[in-house]
Amino acid sequence: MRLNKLEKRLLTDLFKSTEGLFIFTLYRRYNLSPKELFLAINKLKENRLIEIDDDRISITKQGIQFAVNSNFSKSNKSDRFSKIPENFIGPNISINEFYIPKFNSFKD
Amino acid sequence: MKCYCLELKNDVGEIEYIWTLQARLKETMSKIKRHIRKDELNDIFSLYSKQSWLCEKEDSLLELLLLCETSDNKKLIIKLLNDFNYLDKRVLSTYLSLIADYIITDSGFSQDTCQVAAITFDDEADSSQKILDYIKMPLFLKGWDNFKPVNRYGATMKNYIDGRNQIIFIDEFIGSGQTILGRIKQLNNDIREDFDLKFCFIAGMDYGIKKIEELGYEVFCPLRLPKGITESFAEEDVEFSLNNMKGLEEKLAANINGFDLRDYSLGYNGAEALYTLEGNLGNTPNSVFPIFWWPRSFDNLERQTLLTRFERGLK
Repeated sequence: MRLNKLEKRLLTDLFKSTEGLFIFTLYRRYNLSPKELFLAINKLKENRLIEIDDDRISITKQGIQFAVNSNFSKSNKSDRFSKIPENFIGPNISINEFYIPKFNSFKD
Repeated sequence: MKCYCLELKNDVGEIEYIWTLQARLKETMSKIKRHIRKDELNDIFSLYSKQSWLCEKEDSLLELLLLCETSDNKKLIIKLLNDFNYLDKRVLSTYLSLIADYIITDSGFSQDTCQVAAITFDDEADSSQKILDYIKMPLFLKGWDNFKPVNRYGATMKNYIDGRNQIIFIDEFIGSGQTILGRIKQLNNDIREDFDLKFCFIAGMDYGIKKIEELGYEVFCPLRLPKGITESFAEEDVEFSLNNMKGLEEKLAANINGFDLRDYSLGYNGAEALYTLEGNLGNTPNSVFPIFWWPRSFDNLERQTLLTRFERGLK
């Protein structure tokens, strides 16, 4: 199943919230039109990743599993080094090993 | 010129008031969409869940809700939209198939002596002809390859003389039934001999259909509708809701190119219909509450309406 950016964000927010969130909270948080939010919620609901009780939404067990497997519940910042292609990664240097410093990093 | 005052909350939660002319609503629509109150958002969400077609008409929906100055007005519009019958291609197909089954199996008519006729009187294309064209294929696929489709009322006489004395009048929608009653009278005058007459409609107002049935004619109509307010609301709410709707109609242009809104108040002949066929499959009947399709507001500005009705000159 492919989720767009908004759907991923929605699922992530619900993943982090223990008691679910009000539709209105999500609406104010994302600054969207009702239609955009409705379509995203509907898609997640149809795929049984979330459930709606009155106007509160919460993530289902299936949704939690999906979020964990997809790994998008981690924030991008903590994950940014894991996405570097292998051929751009140099060999690790040991502690106290010599290396060529960047001269422009030195200050007078 | 009247302005609308919109109460919006800004990014830090303070209330801002935006005064806007209706003509500028479109410009502010994007802001409006992002500053809807909680109760309104819940209403919109529950509407979207039941009437998914409204998702594609969000600007029109919000414009309509903005027209409602009181919460009673808003509740009324939301209730009517909840009850609305918006037929899509799939449902239309099912109904056409049901009509074809009725004509072939239950009408008792034979394809060799039957004519299926549109009720169109003049030379202007209408949805009666559209449905006639739509029904040709289901009838053919179910085995009728020799029936006569007749695309206007005036030609039924000629086909009658040719031996087709079993007549089925077909149309998309029947409102108060006045048009059909006129055709029945006319046909009885024109033929004056023995003929069988039956009617098929995709949808219609129950009270209009009953008028025809009371004359002894058989009607097949898969979607019979009660009046949107009078026959659907609790008895004690009817008068209040009708007055509310009439109040809302005061926000519409009283006259457009000679079309008087009073003739269409609560729908033509007070039909109170909540029905349309999706997109270009049909034409919103004038029996539908005009608040959903009347093209101009009281200040003669063009409205962005939820539904569209084509009627020459009414724009």
